[in-house]
Amino acid sequence: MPVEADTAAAPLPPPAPSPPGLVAAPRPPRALGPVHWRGIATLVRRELARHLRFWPESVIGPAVSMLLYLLVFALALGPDRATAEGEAVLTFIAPGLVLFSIMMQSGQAITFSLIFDKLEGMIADLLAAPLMPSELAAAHAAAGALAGLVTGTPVLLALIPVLGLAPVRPLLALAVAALSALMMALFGLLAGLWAKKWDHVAAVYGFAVLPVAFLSGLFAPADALPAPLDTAVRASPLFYALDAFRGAVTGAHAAPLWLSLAVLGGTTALLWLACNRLVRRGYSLKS
Amino acid sequence: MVAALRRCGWIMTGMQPRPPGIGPGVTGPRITGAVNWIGLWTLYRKEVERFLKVVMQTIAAPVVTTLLFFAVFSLALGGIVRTAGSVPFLVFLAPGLTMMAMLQNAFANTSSSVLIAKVQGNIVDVLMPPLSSVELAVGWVGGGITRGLLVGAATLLAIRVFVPFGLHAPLFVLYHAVAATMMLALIGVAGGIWAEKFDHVAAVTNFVVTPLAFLSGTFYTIDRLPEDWQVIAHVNPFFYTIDGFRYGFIGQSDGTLGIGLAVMAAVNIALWVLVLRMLATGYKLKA
Repeated sequence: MPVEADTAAAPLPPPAPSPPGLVAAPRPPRALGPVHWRGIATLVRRELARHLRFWPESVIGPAVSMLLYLLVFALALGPDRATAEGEAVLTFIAPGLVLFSIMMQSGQAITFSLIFDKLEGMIADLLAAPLMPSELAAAHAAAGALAGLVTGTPVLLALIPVLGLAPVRPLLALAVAALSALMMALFGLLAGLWAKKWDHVAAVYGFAVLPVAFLSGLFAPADALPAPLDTAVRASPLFYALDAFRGAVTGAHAAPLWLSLAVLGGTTALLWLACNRLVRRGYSLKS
Repeated sequence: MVAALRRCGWIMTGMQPRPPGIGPGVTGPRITGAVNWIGLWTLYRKEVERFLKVVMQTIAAPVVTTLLFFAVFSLALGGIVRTAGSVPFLVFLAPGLTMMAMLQNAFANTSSSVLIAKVQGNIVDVLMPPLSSVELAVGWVGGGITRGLLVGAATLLAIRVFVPFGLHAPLFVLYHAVAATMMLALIGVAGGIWAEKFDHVAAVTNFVVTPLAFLSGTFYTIDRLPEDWQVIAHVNPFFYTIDGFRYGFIGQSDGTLGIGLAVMAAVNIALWVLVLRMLATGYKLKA
């Protein structure tokens, strides 16, 4: 057919002859240990680079909006800001905002990257790489957690001089932040697997994560909520994450710290099992 | 109106003398009058259908977010800040938050519409048809105003369920709603034409539109600001959008009402001139 002849690719040039005296010895395949560390590190680096490439949106943007929230609350308090009550409102909100931006970025970094890869067909590059499903999931989770922490650090650093808010127990604060970030990164992985289009992503974060986070003691103590909600939020892991982080930063918390850490650890483990299983099955990846 | 426009176009086609040699049943080129009503209406409809197609993201999500803000502010500050001026704090907050959502969505609609068309290359589909720069701008801006007003109406109705507020001056509400959404829709068109990638529009949203909408008296009366900030507030058009809109509901304003009306008109005229000039010269669109 003439049409095909017109569009046919030019014939490939013949393979270049090997230079004389150089025998092409086939390299043996690279031996991988039980865990393909290099593959995991590469994937983490790629995901992190992708997140940081858009640093005005992924790092500066969240920092600015968190500071705006805080500024707006401070201004709305007006003359009441100087009172003990006003002071309490601001010290309550600030640590929550830091952890909130960490968690949102951890989750979104992974969800966005996964849905983008799926829609653009680039997911094949990941699936074809010699990575086990658990390695794939672990790399995404680690990258998401790191992305969130990278985002949260400037916010925290900006808040310390503004509010004089030095963490009471810095190591615990770091541990809670890391665990919460990991939890949300796994959630983000799950959301990214499930989502088929951008609308789904927007729905998950706009109609599920954001409302739950806003009401899980981000801006006001859970006790301030009306009757059924104040106990309902105690079923949300985000409540324990925010509460434990606030406890580590300011020293005041509503739930016992061991309980918060247990809930966070348990939720993370469950999410890990779910992600691992779904990636192994190829749910929404290979089908 | 649709019927009228259709009829208008049909009549024009019908009165058209056929060029020699073209038999009955074949129409000649349509002659458009001073205004290409069919083209304008089609562009407007395309703009509206564009955002209605993802109504969950473009209408429902902003309404939910605004309601969340409302809930959070009443929970966190309800105990301390009871009144703003002489009205209850929540009644004060309702119109301000509504206007904030309207501003953000009017901007988001036009900026994303223009930028996505540019990035995807289908901008030629609106540059090629027989539409003048005025018609182009009116179609785009009309879409932005429509989305802003829809978000505003839905938000007001939703808040009205929780907090009863009256209507003091409906004409003020209408004028400021239309003028404010028009202002942001025009800024969105200018921004979308100027931007070359999504980062640029995200930067304008994160660092200009959101801070201005947040800090221009949505959440507090201006007298709560430090002295020199009050001066800035009084030259900030965003302040007049919120202040005038709120006056329509609560009958109390921070600024001078007449100045507000004049500033809105002047800013809109200046923006129209800018946008029409950009379109007429083909800045970053045809050049």
